[in-house]
Amino acid sequence: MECNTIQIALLIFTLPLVAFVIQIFFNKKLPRQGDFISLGAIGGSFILSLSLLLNLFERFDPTWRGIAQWPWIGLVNFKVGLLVDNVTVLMLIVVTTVSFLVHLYSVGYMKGDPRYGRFFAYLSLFSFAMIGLVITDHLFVLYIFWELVGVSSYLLIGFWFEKNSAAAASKKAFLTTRVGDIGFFIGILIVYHLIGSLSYDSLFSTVGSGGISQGVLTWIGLCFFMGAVGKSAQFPLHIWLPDAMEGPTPISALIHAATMVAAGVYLVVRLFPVLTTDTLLVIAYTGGVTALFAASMAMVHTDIKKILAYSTVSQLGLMMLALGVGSYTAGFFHLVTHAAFKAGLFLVSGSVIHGLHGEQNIFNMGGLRTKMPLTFITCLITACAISGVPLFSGFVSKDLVLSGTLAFSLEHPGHFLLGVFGFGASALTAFYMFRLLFVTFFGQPVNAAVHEKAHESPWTMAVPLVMLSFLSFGFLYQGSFLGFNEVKLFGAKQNWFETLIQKPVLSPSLKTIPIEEGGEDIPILEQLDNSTKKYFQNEIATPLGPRYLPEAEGGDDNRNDGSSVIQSEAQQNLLHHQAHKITQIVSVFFALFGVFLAWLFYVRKALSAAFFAQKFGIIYLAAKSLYWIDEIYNLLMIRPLVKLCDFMFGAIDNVIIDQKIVDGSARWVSRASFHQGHFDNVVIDKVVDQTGKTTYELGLGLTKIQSGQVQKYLMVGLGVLIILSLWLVFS
Amino acid sequence: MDWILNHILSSIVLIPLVGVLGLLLIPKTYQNLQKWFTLIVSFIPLGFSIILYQNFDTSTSDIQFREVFSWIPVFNIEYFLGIDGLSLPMVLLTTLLCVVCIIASWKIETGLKGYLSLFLLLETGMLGVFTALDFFLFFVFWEVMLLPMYFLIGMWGGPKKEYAAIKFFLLLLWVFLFVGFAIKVPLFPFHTWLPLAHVEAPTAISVILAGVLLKMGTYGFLRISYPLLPTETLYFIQTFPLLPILGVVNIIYGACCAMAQISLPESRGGNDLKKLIAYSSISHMGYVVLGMCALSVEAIHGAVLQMFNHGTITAMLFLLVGVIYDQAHHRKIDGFGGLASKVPVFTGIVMVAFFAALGLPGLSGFISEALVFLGSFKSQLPYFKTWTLLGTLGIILNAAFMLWAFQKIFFGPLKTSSEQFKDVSVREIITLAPLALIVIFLGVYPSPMLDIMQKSLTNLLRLMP
Repeated sequence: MECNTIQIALLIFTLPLVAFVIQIFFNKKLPRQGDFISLGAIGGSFILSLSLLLNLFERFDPTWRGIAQWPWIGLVNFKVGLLVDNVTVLMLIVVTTVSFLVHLYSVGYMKGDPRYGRFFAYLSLFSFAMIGLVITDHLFVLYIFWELVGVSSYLLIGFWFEKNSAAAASKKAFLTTRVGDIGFFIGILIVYHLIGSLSYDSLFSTVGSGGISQGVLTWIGLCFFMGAVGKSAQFPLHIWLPDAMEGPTPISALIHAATMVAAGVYLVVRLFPVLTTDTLLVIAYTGGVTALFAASMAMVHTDIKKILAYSTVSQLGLMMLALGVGSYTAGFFHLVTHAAFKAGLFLVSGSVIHGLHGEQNIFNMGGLRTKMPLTFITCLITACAISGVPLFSGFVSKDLVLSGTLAFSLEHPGHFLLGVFGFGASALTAFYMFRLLFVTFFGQPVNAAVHEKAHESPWTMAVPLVMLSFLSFGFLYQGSFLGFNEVKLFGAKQNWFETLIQKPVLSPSLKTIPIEEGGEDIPILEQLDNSTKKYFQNEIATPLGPRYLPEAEGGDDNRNDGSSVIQSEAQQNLLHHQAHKITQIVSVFFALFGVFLAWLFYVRKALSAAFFAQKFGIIYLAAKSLYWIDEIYNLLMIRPLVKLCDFMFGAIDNVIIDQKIVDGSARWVSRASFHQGHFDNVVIDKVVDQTGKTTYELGLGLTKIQSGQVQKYLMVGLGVLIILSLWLVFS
Repeated sequence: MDWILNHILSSIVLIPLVGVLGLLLIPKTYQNLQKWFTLIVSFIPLGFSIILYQNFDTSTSDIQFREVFSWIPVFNIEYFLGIDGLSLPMVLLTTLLCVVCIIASWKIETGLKGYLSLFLLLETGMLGVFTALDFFLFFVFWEVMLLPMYFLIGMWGGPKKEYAAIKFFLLLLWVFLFVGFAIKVPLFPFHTWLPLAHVEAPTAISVILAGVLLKMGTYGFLRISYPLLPTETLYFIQTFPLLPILGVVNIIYGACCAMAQISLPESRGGNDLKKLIAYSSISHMGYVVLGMCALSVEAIHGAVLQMFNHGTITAMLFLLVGVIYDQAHHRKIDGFGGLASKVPVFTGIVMVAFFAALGLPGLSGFISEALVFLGSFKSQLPYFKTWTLLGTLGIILNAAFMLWAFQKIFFGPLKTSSEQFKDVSVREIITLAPLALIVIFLGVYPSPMLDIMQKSLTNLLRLMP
């Protein structure tokens, strides 16, 4: 059963590529512009991913992983390979599920678009690249797919490129993420320099055996994190994501909510074993600041998609925060649950926009509850999930995120701000999300004409909505089943997710994990030798466990700076247990309070939003103006850069070099070269000299007689050649 | 067959020359016949160089297919042709681009016969430079190449053609006798001939200029300066790091000037799409110089691969500018807008070329740039980490001006001035498709090219002190 995991993974990866190639060339010639090809391909990938998930549950082994490699660039000994472990399989499920549902949704949403077929081609390209990003085992290949998802995002944000705003947004997205990618690339350079290889395993084994000092490792971690900051739209590179909402709404759901923007989080998850405590602290603060700060902008926006975009930034911040404080499982868990409910929310917004024929301002909607009941119920479920209302998926994962953060803050009182960021952001989440829900679906319709025309969406759009809201229920993630025989949906002590995804810890000399991988019929040209397998040891899921086992590596202060003081396990468990209890109460309270507050403001109208906006004028204005970050970048970086370029070209290139130096020296050369033969005899070989001079004079002479008679010039050039060739033949 | 294999290099080099003689026999008015004849003639070296590739032994660093005759015994001058892993990619590139260029020149009418003859003469010169292994012979071919180039720019070019041509000519000569190959690369601050020459040259000549002639500078460094003057070369890399600094300056400065083409109005020398591409070439050749200097296995392979890749990518870019120019008769960046909705196929090909130029993974330019960076970052020489880090700025700058230009020309609402635009013709696709396929293939699987180079370049590094 397991031996074909690799083939299945390969097939999952290839299907969308094939669909892309067919679609990009032939979409106009196919019936229905070939949408069934893309849909079929991703559907196939989806079903195959499900089979991998079933295998996973059957096996139920947190340490399982399989690798296969093929040679690629022999010169630098790069091999491309697949790495399939529990994290990969869950990511594949996330990607293919959301992608499949979004494909289906797009059949309805994009109907009638003149470039309908090309839209599906791009969707397939994206799915292919995203799956590649997930299953690779090599940093260089990861970078390749990392950029390819960026390009598909560029193409899809700018899908309606006739709109100037869409064209500008796509460029901004690509360039902003590329700033982060330079960091990623430099990280790759450092790793290659140090260990001469770029596969995850050689990196892990070198780090595990203490081959890289903590200081350098911190830098490497920060470089990689810079890539993640760009891709996952963390502060200060978050500016592209709200603009990216210019793309069609299914794209916002797939790329800019569920999958691509989560790639940064995935990168941190993948490289988690090599991140030092210092790096993690930076990650935690970046994530925390982003979470709170993006939530504050989501509170004041009126465009339904932009609210969701800032909400995405904020939730990604929470994931980073969780990873940064060492709650590995929680961070990845939130990625998975968030993918479902946030994609759901975006598809809801798409449904609303579709139903209202392009209206995006929530304050022009109102009262849609009766007109679009299905959309409303979906929105309610997904909003409950994101707000962390009990029984929904967001509650389960956010609970872990917040309790991890709280435990960290309790352990290190110096970092109490992290706790504030986490709880603050999740309190705001409930408020802004229900603000959106109440304003859109409750009350009286603002615009009667628009309201009159509003309609529920077709079934291709409804099915994904229903599926995603189903996936937002908590019991799916809460149950524990150790294999299929032992299923317990409610009241389990530890849910299946926490059992399967456990924090990896590097250790040089621990138990060997057997890799039962590779049937005869696939070309696994190089099996990993045992030495690269044994550094993985999975610890029992305590989000604050000891991070670095190799104690022998002394003389390093970085590890002992407060955040990594290794306490006894019992103490930590106790702390975590307490934090968990507090969190459950506090987060439920915050969620319900946020909902209640939104209700007071926007349904009951007991409180006036305008009044508060005025009262906190400056804060409101700052949040509303997105803290002027775009303006600051424009003023401090973009404009000076353009000015510098203009100066370089205008002043240096055109004027100084060209007119003074080159033209001046050209004149000088033309004078000097006539006399050069007389004093350079000793220095330069006579023959060379003479050739140069002759040719030069020939050139000058020819300019003077330039009369347009090609034949004449040709003859001169040819003559020389013919004589030379004749000489050659007869000598 | 054996005879051909034994004299294959001479055949490749001299067949275009024989073609010139044949061409001279065709009467002036038979223009179609002249074109087809030239095309067929140019296909022969291409076919032969593919045979060369198939018969090339990748397991040795020796000179292969050598042909040595004594030529001028008094000065010990030999007719010595041969190729190794450094020159074979250049020969392949040259023969391919020549075929492409002749197809791209199909519409030229004035002075066609002279144009085609000079073009074939140029091909002989270029192929001679890449295969000659005797100093004197090298110089002969070098001159053979320069002369037609001068006329091709001078007679079939734009309004400032004579100025551009004499400047090109003078500067080259100056370089060759005094400075070395730096101008040819073209290294800052000797680069200013390039945008000017390009602006004035017809499309096909721009392609040859950027695709092949620029490589001769770096080729000359690697072929002549490295083995003959290793200590001096090392002096300029290590003790007095002029070369790597100029490489980095090229990367950043070229990209900045390209950017200025978009932001500056025409009155201040900007707003010219062809100049933008020319400056991007300057930036991309910077990677070659940086990689060449790092003296590590990865970097030097990256450099030579970049020479080949830049040849194909920049050829595509200039051909595409030519397509635009043929229809609009101008190259002003702000004179276009919203073309994507009007000419989807053209847009798609431009997108491939632009993305390849900005180093998108999956396309060939990325692999060579990445190898250059990987190699120069791990180089043992002093300061190379700094040069590399500065060089990575090129990644973002290149992306910035490429996407900016792309947005201006292709996105937004369709401008009325662009309404009569037609999509690429079959002939244009024939010139572009092979290049695009190579760009994609080498981006996914660069090993065939790297395997050719490996022995020779490793050997070259071994020669360095």
